[in-house]
Order: sequence, then C-alpha cells, then structure tokens
Amino acid sequence: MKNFIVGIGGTGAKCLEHLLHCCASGLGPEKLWVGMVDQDEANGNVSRTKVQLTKYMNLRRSLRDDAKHDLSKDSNLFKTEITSNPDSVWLPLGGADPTLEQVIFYNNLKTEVKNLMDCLYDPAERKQNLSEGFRGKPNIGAAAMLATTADEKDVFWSQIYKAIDSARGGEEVRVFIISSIFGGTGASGFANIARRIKTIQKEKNVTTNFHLGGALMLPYFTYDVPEERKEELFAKPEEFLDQTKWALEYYSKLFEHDKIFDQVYVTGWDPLSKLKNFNMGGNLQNNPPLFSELYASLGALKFFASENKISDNQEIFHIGKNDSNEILWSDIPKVSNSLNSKENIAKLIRFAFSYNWMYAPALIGSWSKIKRYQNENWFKRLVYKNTYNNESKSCEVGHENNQEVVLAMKEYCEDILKWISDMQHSTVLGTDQKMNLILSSFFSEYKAKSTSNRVTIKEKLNASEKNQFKELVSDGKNLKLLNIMSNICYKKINKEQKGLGVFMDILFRSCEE
Amino acid sequence: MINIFRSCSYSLIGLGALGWIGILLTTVMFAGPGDSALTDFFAETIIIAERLETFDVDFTYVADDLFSLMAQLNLSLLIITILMSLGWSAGSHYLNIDSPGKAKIYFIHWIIFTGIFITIVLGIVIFFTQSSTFESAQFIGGTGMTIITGLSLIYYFLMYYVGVILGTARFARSSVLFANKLPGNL
Repeated sequence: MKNFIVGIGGTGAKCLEHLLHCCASGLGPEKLWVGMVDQDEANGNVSRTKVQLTKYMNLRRSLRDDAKHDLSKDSNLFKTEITSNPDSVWLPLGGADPTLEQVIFYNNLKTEVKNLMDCLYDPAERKQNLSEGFRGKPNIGAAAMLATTADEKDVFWSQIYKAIDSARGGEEVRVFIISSIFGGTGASGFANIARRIKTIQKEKNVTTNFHLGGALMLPYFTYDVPEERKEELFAKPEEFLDQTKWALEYYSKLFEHDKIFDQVYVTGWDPLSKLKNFNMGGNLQNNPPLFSELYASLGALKFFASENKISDNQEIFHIGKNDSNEILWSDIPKVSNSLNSKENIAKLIRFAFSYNWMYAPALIGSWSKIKRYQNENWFKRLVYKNTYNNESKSCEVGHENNQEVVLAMKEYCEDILKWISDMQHSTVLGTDQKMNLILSSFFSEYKAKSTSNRVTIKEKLNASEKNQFKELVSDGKNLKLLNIMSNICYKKINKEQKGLGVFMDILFRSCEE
Repeated sequence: MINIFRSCSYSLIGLGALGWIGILLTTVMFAGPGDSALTDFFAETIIIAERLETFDVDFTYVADDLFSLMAQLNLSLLIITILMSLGWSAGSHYLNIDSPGKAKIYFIHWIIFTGIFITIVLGIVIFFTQSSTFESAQFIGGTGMTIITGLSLIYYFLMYYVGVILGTARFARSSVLFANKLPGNL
C-alpha cells in the first residue's frame, strides 16, 4: 500500500509535525510520502516541520541501514519509512514576490473580465505581495491556486500522478490532505487540490484502489492583533468563525453533489487556544503545536491504517474530548485496534527523557570517556559488542560516524520533549482548561511570548529531578528510571539488529511496563 | 517483577552448580553412618579418639548423633546460602540503579551483605559444634572444628558467590566483586 500526505498551509505543516512524532513512536504506516503546500515559503511553522522531516528521514536512514546500524523491521521506533521531494514544500506561485495581478495577467485581461475581477478583489488584494502566503484570504488563494497548473512534470504533482498510476497498476493508494478551513493557504488549497487530484484520477480512468482522505481543522486558536496592525491584510481571528461558516456551507454542498473524499476528519477546539506571539507571516510565524492538531494527525494515521476498511460511501468523522476542562490521556484515540496511540506516545516521551538525560551522556564523547561503562552489562551487551571492530580490535562507539547517530538521536529526543511540553502549555494557555499529560516543569521552562524558543529544556538534571521521571507521564504507570535500566538489561536482542540500532530499540522497548 | 524472577532463576542455576554436592552430602548424612569413607573420615579426623577413650565409648556410640549433627548443620547452611543468594539477587533490583555507572556505588552494600552472610555461616557452625544440643559435639576436636568451619565457609561462600554473581550478571553486576569480568550475554 502506498500512502501520501499533504499538509496545506501553516496548520497543515503543524499537523505534519505531530504526525512525524507519531510515526517515530510506531503509529504510522510502513511507508509514507510527505509533502507540504505553502505560498509562504519562509513561514516559521513550515520551516519547523521541514527541519523535523529532514531530521526524521536522516535519523531513520542511519538507524535502518543493514550494513551499520539496524533497528530491524520489527522495531516500532521510526517504523514509518518517510520520503519526500528534495524540497518538501510546493509553492503554488513561483517567481519573486508575485501578486494576484501578475498571476492572473490582470493587465492583459479583456475589459469585462477585468471589471469582474475588480468586483471580486479590491486593489489592495490584487496588488498584495503573495510571497508570505494569502494572508487569511481564501478568495485570493483560490484564484491563485486555480491559476497554477497541475503539471505532471512538476515535482509535487508528479508524485500525485505516480500515486494514481500505482492505483491503476493494482496497488492500493491512499492520499490524505490536512489543512485549516479558516485562514488563507489551507482554506483555499484544501478543496482545490482535492478536486484536482480527483480530476487527474478521472482523466486516468482510475476507479478502484485509490482513496482520498482529508482532515479539516475548524477554528482552534486565536490571537490578539496589535491595534496598529489592524488595517493590514492578514488572517484576522474575528473573521475565522464567519469564514468557517461559509466554508462549511460550501463543503456541505460540494460533498452533497460530488464524492471527493472517501473519509473526512473534522476537528476543532472550544475554547480556542490563545496564542501569545502574533506574527502575520514569514519566519516569525512560528506557532506552538496544539492538541487539536494531534487529533488531525491521528485521523490521518487512522486513514492509513491497514485495519481501516474504506467503504464506498463518503464518511465524515468527528472527535471530541471528555466533557471536563481537563485534557487526559484517555482523550487520545487509538489509531486502530493494534495501534494504541496513548501507549506509543507515552513510550516515546519516556524514551526521549531517558535517552537525553541518562544514556546519551554516557555514549557521547571519545572512547577514553566512554570506556568507564565498558564492563556494565547494558553497555557490553548492547553497545560494545555491536560497535566492536574485529579488524581494529576496538569498540568504535566513540568514532565520528557513530557519534553522529548518538548526537542526532539526542537532538531528536530534545525535539520530542519540547514538542510535548510546548503543546501542553500552549493548548490551555489563557483558558480555564487543564492539560496534564506529562509533568514538564522540572525539566523545562516555558515562555509563552517567545517565538523561537518557547520551551527550553535543562542541559542537566539533578538527582531529585531525575527521580521525578516516575511522574513524567501521567498515565498511572509509575515507571521509574530504575525499571528502565532493569529492562534494558533483560530485553532480548532481535537477531536482525545491528550497531547502535540494538541499543536504541531495546531502550525504546524498555520504556513500557 | 519479571526481571526479578529472571535474576532468581539465574541465581538458582549458579547455586545448583555447586549446591548439588551439599544436597548429596546432607542426604547421605541423614541416612546415617555406614561402612564408608565419610564415616572413616569423621572417625579419624573430626573426632578426638582420646576423648572417646576417656568416656570409655567407641566411635559407633557417637556416630549416629555426629551424622545427624553434620546433616542438620549442612541443611541449615544450605538454606541460609540459598536464601541469602536469592535475597541479594532479588533485592538488588530495588537498589536505585537508574543510570549508567551507578551500580558501582552499591558495592559497599554487597560487601556488608556478604559480611552478614559469613557471620551467619560462622554462627551456625559454632552453634552446632560448640553447643550442648548435640551430645557428639563434645567429641569434636580442634582439627575437626577447624576443618568443619573452614570447609563450610569456603564451600558455602563459593556457592553463595556463584549464585549472586549469576543472579546479578545482567543488572547489578558492578556491585558484585569481579562480576564485571563476566561476558555480556550472561
């Protein structure tokens, strides 16, 4: 089965960030192609996901290498083989600082068409520089998107063509689109891209094996716009609900007459999460990960799950959390009967913590520093034996190529801890909601107004902070670092595992009861 | 909990590797004296012949009681060795070994625990050989006492050590003397 996911706009990109972490925990399908669509190339949300995607792909490649480090096929850590285009982001409008006028060749239009455009778009909208996205104006985005061509030679669209060709060849193909229903790029891209995909499918006469799914994010966050910037053209939170209403009416009619999606997942959040760092676009628009985006990404994973049998009817799913003001682990739905999201995510968080503060420090550095652990069973069995070079008769864990993997994993673990801490703080900020999925105060610091470093995590933890590990994940399991050390000493090594893949997988498996 | 059971299983294998000799000897002793090398050894080395002559009795008079003494002594030592070995193997899982390099600091705990074990072994040997519970104890001479004490200490310590070393080979090995020299797969 081939799976493709496209995140449209800032929200789409943010949902993909959650999806990547879920894939790292083993919740994803075997293979997945990931792409993003955003006119705002430098957007902070998109950039963050792009970086995370690259980190995921590189680390997975390093740890799934038959010759060096292999986690083995059975390992759930970084299970999903994610691929992407060299540039994972597709810019609908190329060129430097395009405007709507340029895109639709306004000056060359016949007078009557020009007049029609004048009715639909005011001069400010027509002349708006679109290099930072469509500024919350789906009417601009829709026109701009329609003006682009879905060319088979285009690197982004060629993937869609290949997907549809695979379906025609008999392979099952699933494509999923995530975007917001409000805002600019996402709102204008969701329907347009979906309809284009359907058109290509019809042109290629593919009637079976091809399934299209989508996640629509209803309003789930808001922000305060400074008085002095209220006149500028950008996504205004007070317009989100109206935009959503109109968009839902549109989709209701669209879905009534035409079956575009096989499954649609609709998610929102009430009360809206309040973002503290307003930025209208560009690299400063670096919004925090929010809980409702996790729902969208889990919807995508449910869509890709092999247990998900797609019916002929168009299905629309929605999800809700418990009625109280508290967000609990039980509010996280399963991906399928065999994929328990709660357990996998909790395991990944514990893995990230124990690797970052307990084991990575023992594995980082030269052999002269690392060798003090050489006689400990966990090290001897999981690291020493598997990084021992028979030719040089030495353990090479301190060599540059092995250190790269050790350090890359540490960086990824830091990202996981920042992601979950940021999500927990930012989702409930300024509302009367509570979210205590993890206890993060002892290892991290949260600054709501900071754009680039909302969450900083401590470089070192003292003994009492390490001791709080048992309360890290509020799932009632009371797993201690002591249990993890005990588990890594006893877990069985899979024969296919190699190099540092042995230690990484055993540590991951040890982070559950 | 499963890891504790695994530790105890490994420990039992270690105890069994040497323990079968003790079990065999104890069984033979419970069976009583016969025409065997063991009876001769007790008669010639453990018992003071002069003292038997003083009381005008021969070895057959004390043999049954002496065999019973030795059987119960060995049974007690076997039980205490198994309990102490399994106790450390299971108990070491409750030491706070939560990060690399931390097991070493528990070496002192093991030394104290082992010291207690040796003291108990000595106490049991002294109780059986010096008290008036067994009549035959008064006929055990200095050489016999030294042999019983020395052999008991060496044999049961070795048995305990092998049990402990295998029981902690996976987890708390750094806390046990020389356990780090074991191969990683154990």
